[in-house]
Amino acid sequence: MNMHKDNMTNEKNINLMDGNASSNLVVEEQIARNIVELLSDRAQRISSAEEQRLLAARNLAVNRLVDLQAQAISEHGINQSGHVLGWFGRHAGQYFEQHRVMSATLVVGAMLLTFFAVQQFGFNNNLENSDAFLLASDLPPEAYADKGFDAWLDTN
Amino acid sequence: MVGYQLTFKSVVLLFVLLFSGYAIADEANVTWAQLTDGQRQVLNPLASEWDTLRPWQREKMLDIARDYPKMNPEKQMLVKKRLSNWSRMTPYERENARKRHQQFQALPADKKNELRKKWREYQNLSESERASLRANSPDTYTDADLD
Amino acid sequence: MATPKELSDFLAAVERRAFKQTAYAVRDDHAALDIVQDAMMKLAEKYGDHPAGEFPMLFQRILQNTMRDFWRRQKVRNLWTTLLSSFGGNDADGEDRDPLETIDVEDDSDEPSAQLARSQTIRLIERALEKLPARQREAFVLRYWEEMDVAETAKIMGCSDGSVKTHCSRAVHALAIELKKQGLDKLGLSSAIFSK
Repeated sequence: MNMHKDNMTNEKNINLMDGNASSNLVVEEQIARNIVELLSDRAQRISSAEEQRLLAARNLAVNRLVDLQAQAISEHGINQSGHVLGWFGRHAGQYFEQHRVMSATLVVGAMLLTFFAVQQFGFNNNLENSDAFLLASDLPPEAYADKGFDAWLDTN
Repeated sequence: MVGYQLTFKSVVLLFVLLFSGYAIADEANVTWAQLTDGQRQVLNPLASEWDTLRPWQREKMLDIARDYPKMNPEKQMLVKKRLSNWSRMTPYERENARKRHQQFQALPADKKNELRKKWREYQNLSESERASLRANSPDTYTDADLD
Repeated sequence: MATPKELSDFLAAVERRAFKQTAYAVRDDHAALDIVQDAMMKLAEKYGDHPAGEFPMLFQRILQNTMRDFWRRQKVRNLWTTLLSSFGGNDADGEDRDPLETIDVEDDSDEPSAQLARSQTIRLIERALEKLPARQREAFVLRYWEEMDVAETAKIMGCSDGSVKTHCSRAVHALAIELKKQGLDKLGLSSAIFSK
């Protein structure tokens, strides 16, 4: 806890209690802590519609990261130096250039690990993300899969 | 460069297909006769083709059967109604559908309503119109979509 | 480089606070959800390659910036003029605020009284928080709710350590005063706020 005095000579000294600046800070922190406890309580009780939207937003962001990382693995090395693991450094890169098949396998392994880690760690296993939920949603699955519908939406 | 990338991507594809088949084969290698009554009840539309489905397809259907009891009767009805169509889609189409569905879920209520309306309007177009829209749109399915 | 699971865990932990914090600032739940969604995507796209330990600070900065973008895009004159004076950094206490008396309390007649008191207290705190000048609210939320230290808060807000402390103490003072005004200390509800 930060206990040094503020330089408050030119400012109005707002006292919540009789006492010096450091005890003011203690009181301030105490009050703040209590207020925050109530705020956190409230934040836990948001509506389920709001919860759902937050979850959906979270999943969009995480899926974007998965895509970006998969893309980085497959594009970065090949474009830059012609061998897949170039970005780990020149020496490692030179080694792997001489062992292309192995490096490709390692990269595939990394991608699969990411893929299975994503499956494993549950954020894709919520009911909200399951196929069952998709099937029971407002639109039939054909709506989500129809490229024609996408194209039509773009033009309208 | 292009040739290398193509080879690389097909290696990835091969690995993914092989690996996922291997990983889930045990759980999903149930025949129709081996399913529980509850599972058969949900997956009824797929009864005739169940034994011919690949393990990964069966795994996905079993996931649906697992989540089915958690839903209310209204939603359960929708699941049963749409299950056959769903099973006929290719993995690419289903993956794309999952992404679009997530995007849909993230929309505010008024945009969701708008999209429902648009879908109804789209249904009213003639089949040939819709076919030409599909044919002319760029192919958005890439290997990366298989995650 | 952060893993998708790290990002997922972080967002799951922060999303409700982020939503409420934004809602207090922009006073619009729908806009708040959009803003939080935007901020999550930006974190993934621009900073996904940073270690997950940096996420709290990065996300808060992105969130504040996204809120500012929202304000700039708002064409609503009232909101703009109300916020303009407080957002410029000069904390004009009091002038822009409606008296708390105009808040209509919802009908909670079937709630047990302790619970009722607590919900009313929370509502009053929320109103008071919304009425704080933006910089004070920002400092309060970052320092006390997101639990950043003074230096981190200063970095996010783009001001000095001293300013952060000033904003914080004024925010807490203003919140405490508003609650006292409502006679909460007389009702003994101040025990929720002033003691422990």
